[in-house]
This record gives sequence, structure tokens and C-alpha cells, in this order.
Amino acid sequence: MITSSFLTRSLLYAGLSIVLWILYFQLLDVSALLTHDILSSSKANKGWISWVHELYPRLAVEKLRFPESFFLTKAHQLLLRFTWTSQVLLTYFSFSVFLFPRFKKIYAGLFDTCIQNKYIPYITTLLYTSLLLVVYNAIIEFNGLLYFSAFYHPVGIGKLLLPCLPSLAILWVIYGTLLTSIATTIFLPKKWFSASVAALAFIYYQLILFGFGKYDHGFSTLTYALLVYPFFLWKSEKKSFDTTSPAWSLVLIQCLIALSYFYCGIEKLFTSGAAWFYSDNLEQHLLLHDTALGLSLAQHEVLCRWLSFGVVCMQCSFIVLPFYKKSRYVLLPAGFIFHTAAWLLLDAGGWFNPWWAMYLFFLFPLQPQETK
Amino acid sequence: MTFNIRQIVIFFFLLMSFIPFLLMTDLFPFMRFAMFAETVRAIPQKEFFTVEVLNARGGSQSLSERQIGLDDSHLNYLARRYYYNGQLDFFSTELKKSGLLKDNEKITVTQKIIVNGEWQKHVLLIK
Repeated sequence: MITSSFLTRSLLYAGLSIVLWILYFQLLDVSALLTHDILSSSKANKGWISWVHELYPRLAVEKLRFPESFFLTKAHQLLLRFTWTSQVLLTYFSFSVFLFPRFKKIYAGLFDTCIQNKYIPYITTLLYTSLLLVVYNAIIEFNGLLYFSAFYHPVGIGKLLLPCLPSLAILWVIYGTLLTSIATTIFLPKKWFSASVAALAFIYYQLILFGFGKYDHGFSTLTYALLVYPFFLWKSEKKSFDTTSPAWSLVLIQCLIALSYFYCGIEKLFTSGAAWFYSDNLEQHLLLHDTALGLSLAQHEVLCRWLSFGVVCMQCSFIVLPFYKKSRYVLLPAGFIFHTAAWLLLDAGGWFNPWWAMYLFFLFPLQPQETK
Repeated sequence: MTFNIRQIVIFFFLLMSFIPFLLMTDLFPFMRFAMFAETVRAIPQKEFFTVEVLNARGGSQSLSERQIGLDDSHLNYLARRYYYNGQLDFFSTELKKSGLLKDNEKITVTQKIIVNGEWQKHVLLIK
């Protein structure tokens, strides 16, 4: 039954939403003016424009490549994302606080889980073996990069943690620390400290590679897992639990993996809309990357469109994974096929992809935590 | 209101994973996942830079095949940066200084660019 107070609250929610979107359209002109200011100023400028350059390190080169309209589209996109986020937050609070309190049930207790201790050695071994597969030849990469120290330009936190390319001796220390911390995390009984060191050393490894210009997204979910997993080990080693350990940090890793896929999906929708799948986009990508399998697939126009549509659906659907466990039977195989296809058709990544390796966090059963 | 470590860690990681999407930029170790998000035709200037080694007999090989720690995508980013900053000469000089090339070998930087839907190749530098 619809009460008058429910109606008032609904009208308030609708009114605030309308105000939000009016504000969005009003600010479009302002964003155009700001974009022009940013593009016509040099990086040396002090004040807020230098912060924009800090945040977008590629802007200095890209403004030489692209016309102003390109950046105007980006500015509008930025404004759209802020408005969309505000709308999502407004909807969340309206639904869970004063419209449909039962909405909370979907996510209440999500993190109140535990895991049987017998599974912990398997998770630890699989996670740190994945890390080993990624970094085992890091010293060869480091050795090569030393020849090109003139090209090293750290960005973001790299400016603080690694302002210049370290010497070979330091690079050996980072490499040795990585391997030692992986081994001690797998084999020694107390693991949380070595797991934290492994995460930090892996961050340094990536900062060195990224200092040469390209951020590699292939390591993202592995990095998230390595950063959060020490909290799980710390909690499980802190107290002598009988048979189970609190698994909120494992659920957090699941959420971060699911969100990573979700962001991949909505980035495509925000950036390109339906054109991402309702056009010749995949065919163009396949032609650009020029692999034998990709070129033969590019001949099948309708199949390419359906495959593109399937990719966006699959990536957006990952968000349900932490909530509905049974979805893993569909989504995890779909994800594995997607990464393998991206490797074979677009030459993206390799046979081993840390993204599917991190599915290990969905393989072990979690159970509701007993309340004392 | 009291906060424990669990709440802080969960809030921090969920928030930080969202900010790159909101600001449309990577904030390492938190990334924006925009790989392949733009349609090929929407990019005003689609281009690739390749860095190759030319031997005395005219044969060529991608520099990345020499186990230098940089793959083709890294070399693409680096060549693009130095090209647009007008420093391609410095770029090739530094590559030659690395000692990875024999005396009779040359560095060549090529730009592959789409013009009116057709791929064109421009050799920018041979040194």
C-alpha cells in the first residue's frame, strides 16, 4: 500500500534527481571553458592546471596529437561520470534509508563470512605461484631497462617511491626480495609479514616498468589480491581459531575482481555506447592487431557484433559474482574463454593471464560467520 | 561511531578502485580499465610507432626482439612521446648508446597512421 509519506519521499527523490541533471546540463558550458584554459596553458603554469597535468600525465603529448574537440568530449564525459555517480549515491541512500529498507538485505552480511583453515595453504600457494609466474624473469627485464635509463619518467606515486631508475645492485635487491618473500609466504608458518613484503616488492617492480611509459592493466587484479591478502593472513594467524578464519578480506578481493570486470564493461558503455558492439568495432580491432585467427574472424560481421555484445554483458555481469555464488559456474568459464580469445585474436597478454588466475578466490567455499 | 580495521580497509579499497573510473585516469596501483573502450573509428588519430633495427644487408628486426626489457607497446609509447616533443633524435641517440646495436646496424622509427580509413607508413628516422 502506498502511503502519503512514501509518496512525499519518492517525490523528494525524483526532485533531487531532476536538479542533479539540470546542474549537469548547466555545467557543460563551464567544462568547455575550463578545457580551453587547460589546453592553452603550459605545464609550467602553477595552480590548478599543474594539478590537472599531474593527474593526466599524458596530456602534454596528447594535446599535440588531438584537436580540442577530443578533449571537450573527455571533459563532458568526466562531468557525466560525476553526475552519474551522484545519481547512484542518491538512489542508494534513497532506496536503503527511506524508500525500500529491505533493499539492504541484498548486501547485508556480505563480509560476515569465514573459511575453513584447511583451504588456506591452497589459496596461499596458488596466489604466490601466480606471482612467481609473473616475476620470475624480472631481473632480465631490469637488466635490459638499465640501458635506457634516459627514458625513465616516473609518474604518480613513482615520483615519490622511485624518482630515478635504481642501480643494478638495488634492482637485484628488489628481485631477491620478491623471490624470497614469495618462498617464505608459501613455505613458512607465519606468513602475513612476508606477504606484505611481497606486495610492496611487486609494487616496486611495476613502478619500474611503468616508468617507461605504459601502464599494464594485466597485473591489476593480482595487485589488488596481493595488497589485501596480508590482512587475511594477519587475521587468521592472530588468533588460534579452531577450524575457521574470518574471510572478510577474501570477500573484499572477490569484490575488487568483480568490480574490475564491471568497470571494464561500463567504461566501454560510457566511452563508446552501443557503437562498441553495434558497429564494425571488433572487426577493426582484429584487423589492427593482425593475427591469423583474428583476420579470419574479422570476415564474419554478424558473429563479431554478437561477440562484442557478449563481452560487454559478461563484463558487466561480474558485479553479481560476490552476491550470487552460483553465477561463477557461468561467469568464470566465460572469463577464461574471453582472456584466451583476447590472447589468440588480439595478441593481448599471454597464455597465462593473472586475471583468470585470480578466479582462485571464487573456488573455495566461504560460509556465514557464526555470531557469538 | 567507531571504526575497526575491517571497515577502514573495505572502505578504502572499494573507494580507491572507483576513483580511476570517476576521474578517467590511472592512480597506480588502482587502475582505470579502459582497454579497448574507444571504438577504433572514434579515435581521431590512430597511430602506431615501431622501432626496428636495420642491418647492413637491409634486413630489419623489431628492437623488442632483443630481450631489452621493453616490448613493442612500450617502444610505441616512448617513440610517440619523443616524436611529439620533437626529440626523436635524442631518442635514437640514446637507443644507439645502449650498446645493443652492432656498428653496421641502424635504428629506424616508423609511424603507421590511418588516413581516410587507409593505413599509411611514414619512416620518421633512420640513424
